[in-house]
Amino acid sequence: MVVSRKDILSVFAGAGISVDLSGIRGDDSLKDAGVDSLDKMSFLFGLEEKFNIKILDEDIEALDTIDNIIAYLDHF
Amino acid sequence: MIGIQAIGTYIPSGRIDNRNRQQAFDVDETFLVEKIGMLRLAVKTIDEETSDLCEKAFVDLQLKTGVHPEEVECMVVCTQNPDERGLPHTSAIVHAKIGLPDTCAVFDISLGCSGFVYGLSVIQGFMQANGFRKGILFTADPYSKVVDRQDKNTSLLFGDGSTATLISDAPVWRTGKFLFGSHGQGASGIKVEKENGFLAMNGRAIFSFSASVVPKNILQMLVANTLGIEDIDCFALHQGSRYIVNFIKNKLGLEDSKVPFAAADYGNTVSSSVPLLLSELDGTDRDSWFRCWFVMGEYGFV
Repeated sequence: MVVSRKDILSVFAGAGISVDLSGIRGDDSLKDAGVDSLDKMSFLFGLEEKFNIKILDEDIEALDTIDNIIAYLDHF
Repeated sequence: MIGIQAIGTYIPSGRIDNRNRQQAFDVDETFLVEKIGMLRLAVKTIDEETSDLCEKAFVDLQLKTGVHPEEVECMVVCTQNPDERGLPHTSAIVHAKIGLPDTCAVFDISLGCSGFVYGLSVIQGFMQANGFRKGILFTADPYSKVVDRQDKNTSLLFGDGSTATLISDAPVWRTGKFLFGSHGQGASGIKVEKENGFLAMNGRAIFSFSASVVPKNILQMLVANTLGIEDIDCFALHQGSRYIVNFIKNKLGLEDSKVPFAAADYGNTVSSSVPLLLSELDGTDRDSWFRCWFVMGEYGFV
């Protein structure tokens, strides 16, 4: 599925994550930007709900940049 | 009509201070306070057994109500961590320790964070079926028996505690319609490992389950009781972590004041978390009890 950066950021916003990601680049680490493990869990849950997908535990470590997330969702 | 008359509680005085463990677990202050929420964890002494925790909650219940052991017609202990290896059942041991009469029916049920809600329904049904007027529901699940203190996933969360809820024909709180469910396929999300006897928890699986099911469950339960969100004064949610409590609160658009978080000083006490929370609402103004509807957002893992 084709997902945009805007879609990703809207899921972040919907997940109630307080970190400001408006200026983040596609290849910046979300962890380094201040997204902690619980924020990431909430974000992944938001992705699963919005796109009706199941993200496997073994895939989540790689989902640390906007670019990687967009590429990952492209496989669904 | 039977219902909850009073709740006795016991929280061991021993504490593990999570602030002293932040460096070891690479957890900063904001994450500990705002996400985990458990600043200290209550921990029983090594020689304190699950039945001892029940006995101490019963002492508190007696102080609050004056209930006499000879009046009690049935008693249930809800625990996943019974005395020794579970045989004899812990309720029989508690029966002896608090001096209940031989005519009193006792049994254990094994459930985790949903235990109080299930237990309420079970004991009330049992009492109604047998015409009983006084029964006690104990919750006591000292996870310190199974938590690996080196495991970041679990050792910052769980604390020990117990409660004794008096169910009687002089209730101050009555229960409405219950709503139950189970997700057996997710049962391995939290388990005691056969190999080492330690608790193992898939935090993401637990979070996803809670985030997807509990809000819907609460809304369905309100409908079943012909209530709206605005009718509820207090949502007594299981105190799993501050993060999940806040997530459910935000998901349902609830006011902060209606969703208390009270576990910061003792931790997630599993089936005791909701009755501990409710006991703190047990103020001197008994009238307020009648105005306070409560909802327990719980769901049962098999």
